[in-house]
Amino acid sequence: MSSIQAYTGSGWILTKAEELINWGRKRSPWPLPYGTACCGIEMMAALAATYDMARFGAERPSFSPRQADVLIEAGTISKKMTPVLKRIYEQMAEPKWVIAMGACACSGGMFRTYSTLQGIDQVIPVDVYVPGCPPRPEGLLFALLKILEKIEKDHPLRELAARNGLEVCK
Amino acid sequence: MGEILIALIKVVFIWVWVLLCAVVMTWVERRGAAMIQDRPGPNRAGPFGLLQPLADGIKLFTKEDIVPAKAKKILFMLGPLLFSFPAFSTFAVVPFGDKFVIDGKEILLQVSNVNIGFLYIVALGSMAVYGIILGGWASNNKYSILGGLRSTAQLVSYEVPWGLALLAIALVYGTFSLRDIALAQSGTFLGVLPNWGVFKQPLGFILFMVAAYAEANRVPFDLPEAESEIVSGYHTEYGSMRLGLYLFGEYVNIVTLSSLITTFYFGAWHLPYIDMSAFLGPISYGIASFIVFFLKVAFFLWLFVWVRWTVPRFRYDQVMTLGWRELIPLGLFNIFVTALVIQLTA
Amino acid sequence: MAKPEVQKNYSLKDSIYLVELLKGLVLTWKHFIFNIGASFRKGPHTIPTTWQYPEDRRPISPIFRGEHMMMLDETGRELCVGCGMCAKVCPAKCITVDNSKVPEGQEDRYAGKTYSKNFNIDLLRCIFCGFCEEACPKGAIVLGQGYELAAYTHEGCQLGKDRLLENYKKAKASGTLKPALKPVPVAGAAQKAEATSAVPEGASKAKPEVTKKVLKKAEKKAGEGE
Repeated sequence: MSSIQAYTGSGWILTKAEELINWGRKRSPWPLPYGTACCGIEMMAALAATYDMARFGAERPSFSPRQADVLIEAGTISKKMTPVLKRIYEQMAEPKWVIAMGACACSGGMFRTYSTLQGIDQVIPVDVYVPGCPPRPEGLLFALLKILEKIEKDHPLRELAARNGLEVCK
Repeated sequence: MGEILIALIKVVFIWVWVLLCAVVMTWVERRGAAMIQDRPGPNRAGPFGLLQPLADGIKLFTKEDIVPAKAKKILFMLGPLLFSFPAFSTFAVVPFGDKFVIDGKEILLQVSNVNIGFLYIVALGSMAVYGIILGGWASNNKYSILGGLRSTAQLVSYEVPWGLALLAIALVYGTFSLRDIALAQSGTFLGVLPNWGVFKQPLGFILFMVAAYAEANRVPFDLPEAESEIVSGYHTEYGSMRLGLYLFGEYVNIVTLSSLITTFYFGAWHLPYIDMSAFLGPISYGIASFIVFFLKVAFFLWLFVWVRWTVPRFRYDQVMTLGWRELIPLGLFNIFVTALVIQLTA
Repeated sequence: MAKPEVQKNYSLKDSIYLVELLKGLVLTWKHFIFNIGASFRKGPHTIPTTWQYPEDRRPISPIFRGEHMMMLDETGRELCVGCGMCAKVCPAKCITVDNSKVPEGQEDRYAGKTYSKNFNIDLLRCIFCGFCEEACPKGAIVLGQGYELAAYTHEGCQLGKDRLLENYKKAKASGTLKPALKPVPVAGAAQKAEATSAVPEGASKAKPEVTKKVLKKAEKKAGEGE
């Protein structure tokens, strides 16, 4: 396999292909609404008519992790819930992003107790943190926009090559 | 040789047209849903969100393809194929326009004019069930199997009223061939009403519509995909383009069913009181008949979306009660009355 | 509350459901037509129900508790004296304050004799309750109207002094500056508290005395118990 090397990056066709893939991914981030506590209500408000996350293409919130792109973790995670969260994250298909919404998800919030997980970044990698208790729906939309900015700077072909075991040379 | 070429052109044309319809339907569904729900819907991907289906397609193609470790691999891959394939194939017998007359040769706007069109449709409709049950069982996931079983039960139960409504149509028009049924719907009867199926078989029309919604797994019969109850039902374990094929196959199914409703009950390509072939040339008549057919199909496609965002979902026992205890007696009653009327007026 | 009426027997019209279906379709059609017309209007706020963030922002209430800012007085000096009341009262313990005397030559920067050398609010812990705003004796910390707080890293969510002062400047420039909100007693609250107090009429208002005699007795009992 090492004899096949994937040349990605600076050629015109491949750059345009990467831009096309990023364009497609930016316009349809399907969220997995993982609402455990009060932040879930604000997340529902962001998905509903008044603030409408569907404008950004997040029309189809799916509860099945295999079909979702963005895991919006909204609410307190207790230590009992941690293996469930980790399993759901592992079941998601690449490429995937995580938004930690609210104080409890970012860092445990004001619940510094023995039973609350002090921030979900102790078990899964987080892409965007949204402080707030709960954050306004516009705050969540701002975080989604930040995820979209992150997608824009991504290099999908390198990731595809790496996933398939090909060596990536610049 | 020329005939094979013409048949090939028709096949490619109808295939591309159905695909385009299904793609545009995803956009119509989202914007239509949004407009009904007092919100804008996708409006970032191109003007009015028109490029949204393209973005979805690109995203689904480049996602990681996961096959669960304990799933039956071959059946897992076969599920989506068996679901979408019958939807496309049913279109082979649907007359989507009248005919072109070029150099004295008639070209029918129908891929194949078999005289048992009915049986072909009913048989292929039953095959779609395999796609769902295989997808649900092969995923090795309890939500999938429950969703698959529910969907199978629903689809199988609603094939009986479907068949009964179609039987009544066969009684009225005396033929199984779809083209003959479409041709027989020209002109008027009782002086004022057009000869359409909906006026001759109002009860049958309602039965067929309800059964069509159940066959398409659409609200109010979308229990197999009920999120709050069984996560995503039979396509829980499917991601990337396999899911795309399931979702797409559902829309193709809807296009097929709308075309069937138009052909049987709404006079296929006929305008209500006007006979187009009287004042149009042979080629433009063919094109005009195709456009009229397409407009009628478009109305029914919109009706599918409209009803989806109006009505809540039925409960499982309500679905079964409706199918077995209410629609089947109505279907039998419909056949009885039709036969009586035909006998008395023959 | 009376038991709600549940309809058990449906009339024929209702059980056929088609009439209700048609009524529902007419209702959704009206919404559809209205919104289609609305979506062709100019400007970001086309459909009346939706606030299309980021172009279209909903007006925020003046007492909204958003991102914090550190206040300066009229002459531009920092009000914060580094007393640490906000850190003490914070329920989430997200404020860290370090306090030292104002060095020579910097009296025009700080209003008091001491200042907070290191002041940090960890936004990831903050619950935006506003207790720090209520507790501050100088009215130096105020919760403003910022709600766009998302960041990629933990460091991006730490409000140091520089960021707090920047928020102040932004609020001043946009005209949304307001003084610190303090809890206002409800009218007649003092009289109400006296009226409902548990002491019955006629009882003495003297405080019970913990005399040396009582203490000795308690010690003796403890000694006997061991």
